[in-house]
Amino acid sequence: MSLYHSDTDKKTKLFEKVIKFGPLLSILGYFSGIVYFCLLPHEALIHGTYISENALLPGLVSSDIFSTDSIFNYYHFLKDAYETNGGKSFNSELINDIFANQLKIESYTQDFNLTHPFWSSENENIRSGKNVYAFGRAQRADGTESIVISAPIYLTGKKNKKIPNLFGISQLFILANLAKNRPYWAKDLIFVATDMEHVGIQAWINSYFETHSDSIMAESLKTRGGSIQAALNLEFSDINTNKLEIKLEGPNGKLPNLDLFNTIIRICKSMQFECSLESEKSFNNDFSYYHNRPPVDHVSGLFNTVNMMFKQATGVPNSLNGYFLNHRIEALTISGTKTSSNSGRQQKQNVLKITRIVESTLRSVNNLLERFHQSFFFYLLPSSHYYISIGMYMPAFGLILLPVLIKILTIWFTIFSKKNTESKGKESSLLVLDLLKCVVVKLMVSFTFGIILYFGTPFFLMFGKVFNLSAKDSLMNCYLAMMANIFVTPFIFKTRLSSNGNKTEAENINKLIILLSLTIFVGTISVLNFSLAFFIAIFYSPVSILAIQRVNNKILKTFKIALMVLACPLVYFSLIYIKYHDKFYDFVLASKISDIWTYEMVNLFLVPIWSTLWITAFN
Amino acid sequence: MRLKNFIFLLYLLINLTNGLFAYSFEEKLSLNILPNSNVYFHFEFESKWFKSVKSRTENFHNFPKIIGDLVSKFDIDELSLSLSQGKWKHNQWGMPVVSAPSGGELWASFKDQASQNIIDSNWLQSSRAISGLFGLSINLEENPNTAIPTFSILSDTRNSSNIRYASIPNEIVCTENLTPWIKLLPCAKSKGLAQLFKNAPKLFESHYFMINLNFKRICADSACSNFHFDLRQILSLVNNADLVTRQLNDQESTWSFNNFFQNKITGLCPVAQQSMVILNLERKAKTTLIPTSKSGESYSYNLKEFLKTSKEFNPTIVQQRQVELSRASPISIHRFITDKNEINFGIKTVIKNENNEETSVIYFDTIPWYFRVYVSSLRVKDVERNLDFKPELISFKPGLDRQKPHQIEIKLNLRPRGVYSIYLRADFGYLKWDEFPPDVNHGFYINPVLVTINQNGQNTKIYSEPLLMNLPTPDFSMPYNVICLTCTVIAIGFGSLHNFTTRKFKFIQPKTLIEKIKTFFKK
Repeated sequence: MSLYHSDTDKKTKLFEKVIKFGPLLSILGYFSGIVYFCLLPHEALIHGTYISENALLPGLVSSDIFSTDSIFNYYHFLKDAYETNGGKSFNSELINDIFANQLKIESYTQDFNLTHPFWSSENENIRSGKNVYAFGRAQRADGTESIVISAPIYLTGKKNKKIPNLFGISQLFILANLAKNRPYWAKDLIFVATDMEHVGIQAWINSYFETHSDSIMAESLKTRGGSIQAALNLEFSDINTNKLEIKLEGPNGKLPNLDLFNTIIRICKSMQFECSLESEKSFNNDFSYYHNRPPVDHVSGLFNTVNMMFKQATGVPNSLNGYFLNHRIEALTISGTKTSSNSGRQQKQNVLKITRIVESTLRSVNNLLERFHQSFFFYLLPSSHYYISIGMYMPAFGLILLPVLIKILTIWFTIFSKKNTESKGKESSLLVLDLLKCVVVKLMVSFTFGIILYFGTPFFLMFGKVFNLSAKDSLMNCYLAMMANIFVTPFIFKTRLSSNGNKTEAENINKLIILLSLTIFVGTISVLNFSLAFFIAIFYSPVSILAIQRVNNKILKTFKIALMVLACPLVYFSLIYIKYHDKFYDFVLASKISDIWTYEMVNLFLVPIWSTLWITAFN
Repeated sequence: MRLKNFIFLLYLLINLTNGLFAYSFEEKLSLNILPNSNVYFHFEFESKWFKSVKSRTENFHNFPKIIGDLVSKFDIDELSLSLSQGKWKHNQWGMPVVSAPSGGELWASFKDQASQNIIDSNWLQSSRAISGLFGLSINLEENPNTAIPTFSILSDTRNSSNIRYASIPNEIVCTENLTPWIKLLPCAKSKGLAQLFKNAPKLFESHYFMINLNFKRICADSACSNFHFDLRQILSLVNNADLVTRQLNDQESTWSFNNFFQNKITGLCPVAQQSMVILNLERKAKTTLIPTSKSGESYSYNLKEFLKTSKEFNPTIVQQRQVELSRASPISIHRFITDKNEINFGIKTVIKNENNEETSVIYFDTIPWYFRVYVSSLRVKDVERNLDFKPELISFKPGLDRQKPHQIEIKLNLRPRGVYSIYLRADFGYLKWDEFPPDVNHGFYINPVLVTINQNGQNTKIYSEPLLMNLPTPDFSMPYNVICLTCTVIAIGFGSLHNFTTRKFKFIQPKTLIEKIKTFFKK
């Protein structure tokens, strides 16, 4: 008995402490989390990248590309083909022809078509394309391993303009020639030129692994090259390029192994060519830093990190390389940009350097004896020379989520410490009834919204079709309708409860369930897609606590409601939709075509959680 | 005295004639021209040893004693070992004279024994002996990979229950395997066709390289009291003439043996009864060398006669470079991994009949035990008609953990030009931490499939590509670091502590300068 007593004593002591220091600790935790995160790219906390896998040996081989003549030959040949027939002659057939008849390597085409995921009855909703894939077989190897070099035939530029990837495709030919004639290759090289950008690469990868997709129907491949060790994607909108940007972000926040990225950066340095992250701020192009890294710039480092996290949080691959990551193939995109105009001679130099960088990277990967496993898979990059590992950034997330956890503890203690003191009996049956009325109904209603959004999008679009609305507009209308519904629910569901102690008890349980479901949701996401979870936590950690708090002041109340409206995911969707009309629609499409779950997760879980918060806020 | 001398001479003569008739050796090289300037060399060396009933001692004469001892000790009737590097491209090069899977393959047929256990132990011991003999890393105890085919045809004559088969796809061929193989030849590489192997690294520069050792015990009667040993050694290689000669932009390509081997045949192996070179010069190729005999486009050279008149044999061949049609192989196989996820994956083999007639094939697949195959997932499909296909015979022997692999044999009748797929689904097994090989993240091999084609009563073998698959692997770097760190700490901590506690310490008087000089001179 005494034991029991002391136990409860301890509990009550802890409870008192939590009640006393809880709010202070919450505020402290939340803000220190943000401050800690902002400090991560600081000189004192940051780590420089290094190559972990010994076998890579970047930049050690001497290049086998000696002149730019053949590169320019291919380039001008393709350019002529593009310019003569209004761009129609620059297609898969031409590329296949060069692979098969000029280079004489195994080359095949693959037809595929994309059926619009939302309704399939109309002809305009089926688009078809044609990929080319060719094999540069390693002479002495038995074809169990391979490296993919892919290049989209057309790139999408500004204002949805189609830009031919002439230089990228010409590089495929140069590399194919090397693969054919050199004895040192230990892995087959697979050259893939994809039509329709990401749809094409998705179709090809689906066929390679024979994974089923509802919306992409693709011809099965004639032959394969064993297990793919790495993939490089080449995107060059112009041959006049003097800087390479490396894109990493894959679907659902997946990233390629850091070793692959480091290899390219190291090779670029040894070639004295500018390579950076995509739209890297304050990129240091001083080549004297071959052995020691350039100094850290804190502010731009933070900017780069947040930029990367934004891209990761959407869950949509940044470029074609992302689709390989789904199959645990380390992949990245090398894209060329132009920062200044070059003279003809300089341009030739740059072209040679770029081709050599790609070749050298391939040969580093070719050296691998085991697949990439040494370096980091979870990281953030504040610059191309520094990284923040998972062990460093995770505590920030924990601190930001601390207020919610403390709130959960306080509610838990209030429920169970009261239970100990009060006598049980008749009231428990009343409590069950209250719970049914108060908690279950709210949750049921909220999750129905989520399920409607998750499964109902095609139906909404179909419905919009009746009123001659375009798919994009009906999607917008769908959000407006859902929002209106959710905003109104609390006024419809004015739950009337028997007015005594049970009301607060049922309410407490309601709050507990909401906060728990929020933490579970965010916690799970943080393991899969850290950036998404981090941004959700930053908003929902204070909003959820505010929503639960009973506020009597009118000004505070309006502030609270305004904040809650701002936190609604559907409001975000609508705002993004208004700003980026097409991009958002593509995002929704991508989640249906590829396995990108950001949109669906938000619909299925975050909208219901927000909706329950909204309902309780008005209770 | 005279009688004694006579008897001695007679004895010598008998022995000599015995030796003459008891052993024979023949060597042959056939050359084929493949599309895209590829050249296929196929060397065949055949040693025969006739065991005579009369002689009590086992005198193997020139027949390699190691092989003779090995097969006698383990009662081996037939033995085949092949090692290869590279990939034979069936769709371009047609069929090779002798097929081999990439990596290694070993099978043997044993004499009937009282129990199968004796055969099993003989198999393990002989595999170990062969592994040692050729510098291989076959370890069938730790990596149980032995299959006993039920109806797959490996040998034409033998009882299948006495056959043991192991495919070793992770075996890599190198010069250290080639050297013992060459040493089995009576003249090694100093005379005869084997002179071309003198520059061994040059051989490995080829697109495809294969060495094979095939032993057969051939009985003259049913009781097998009279028999002879037949050892056939085969070396095949394919290399590209353009890459070897480094001439790329001509209409013709001109090359000689010297380009490929950096060696010429200058002498004959005196033991060889026959030494033949056959050049099959299709595809508009010519040679200036006058052949001993010629039939159609194949030029035969009998080196015994040829080398009487000339110093060396190094034919120069001029070949027209054109876009050539690929050669046909009777069927084509493609094997790949499908629909992989964290728990399981599928293995699909697509078999296409390239013939215009119905072909009967036997599919023989062994999958290592750590890939847990589901029998229920086995699907044989007619791809074009998209229907399930009922094969003639299916045999499935499930594997046992750490004991034997899964073994699937399917007999199929392929309709003309038909495409069939055989699909299996497998779980990843878990290995114990000490069972992982040192290069875990390289992946684990799934053996190539052997398909035996029965066409007009003739059996032809064709192999698929091996597959590479990663198993769930712990992060070995972390324990490794921990082990290193603790070892260092223990070494430093324990070492110095042990030193301190076990030593006796004495005070030593500091030496004066004179003493120092004295000790210096004492030395």
